[in-house]
Amino acid sequence: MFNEREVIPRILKGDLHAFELLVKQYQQLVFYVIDKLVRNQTDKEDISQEVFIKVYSNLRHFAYKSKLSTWIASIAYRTALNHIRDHKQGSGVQVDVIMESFHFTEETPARLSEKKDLAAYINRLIAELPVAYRSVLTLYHLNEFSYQEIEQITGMPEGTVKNYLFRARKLLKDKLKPYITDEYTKRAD
Amino acid sequence: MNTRKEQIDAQMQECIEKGFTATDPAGTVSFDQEDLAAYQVLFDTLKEEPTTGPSYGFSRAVIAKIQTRKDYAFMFKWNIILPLALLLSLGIIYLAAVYLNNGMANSMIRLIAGFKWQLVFAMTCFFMIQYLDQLLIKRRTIV
Repeated sequence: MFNEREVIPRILKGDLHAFELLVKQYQQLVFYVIDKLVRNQTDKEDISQEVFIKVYSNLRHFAYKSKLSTWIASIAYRTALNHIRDHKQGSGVQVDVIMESFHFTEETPARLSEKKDLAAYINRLIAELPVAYRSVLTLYHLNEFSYQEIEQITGMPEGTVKNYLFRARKLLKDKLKPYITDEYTKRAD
Repeated sequence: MNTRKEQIDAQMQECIEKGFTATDPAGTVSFDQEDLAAYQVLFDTLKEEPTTGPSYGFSRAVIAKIQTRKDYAFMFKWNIILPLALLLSLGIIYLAAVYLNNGMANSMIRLIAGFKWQLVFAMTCFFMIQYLDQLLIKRRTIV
């Protein structure tokens, strides 16, 4: 069982083995955040490593005011945003986007064939969403953070988090519904 | 959430979150079943973990990078301290020579002073190499 109150003081004394335990404990959390926000596959591992180097450098500033996972996720989130800004990844650069004006790219035969694998199709749609929407979807559903924790991680007010979450899910549902309708029709036939 | 349609969508999202399934008739009958089914698929997918994850040796790679940085920081510190100590020693010797009026020390200092620009150039090169090395290594360990 990982006990952060026992491990952190050891890390602060220079115990790298203790830090390795921390990395193992939170590497998936960090990787999930980076995976959904950063599009370039080859950069993901490097950015995840950078996150943990920042965690190591700044651990003395962690004051137990939030959960360690929330604090690490906020570093991962900010590191991913910096990377996106530095590499200007399309719509991902804009954090505040008017959702009404957002449209997914047009369907292509390759994308239609992906619908056979619904999960892949949905993940492809999520990857097209603006970064703020991808962030709240990932942090809420995959990392299972609460609204308050997402507020701490992203700096967005709780109301904005709820609103982005609602709109992102609705947009994805609307895109998904024709396919589900096809399935219903096939079953009815 | 202004429109009635959005209110219904919000209720459907809440309903799925609370664990109702698209086929559960209790409390969900007033909703569009296709909407509800689409939400159900979406919520299930959102919970699925990515197929790719960190590499097997990820934690060891992080530790290796941190160790490399620590080593370079240590070496950098000593590579700065030692030449500075040498310069300081020369300064002390010079001051001692002036104070004691030692002829031999004075002639040694004059000899060194004859090569002062070469020495300044060598020292500048040394510190520049140290600085650039630190800068590049630091960047390599992050990127």
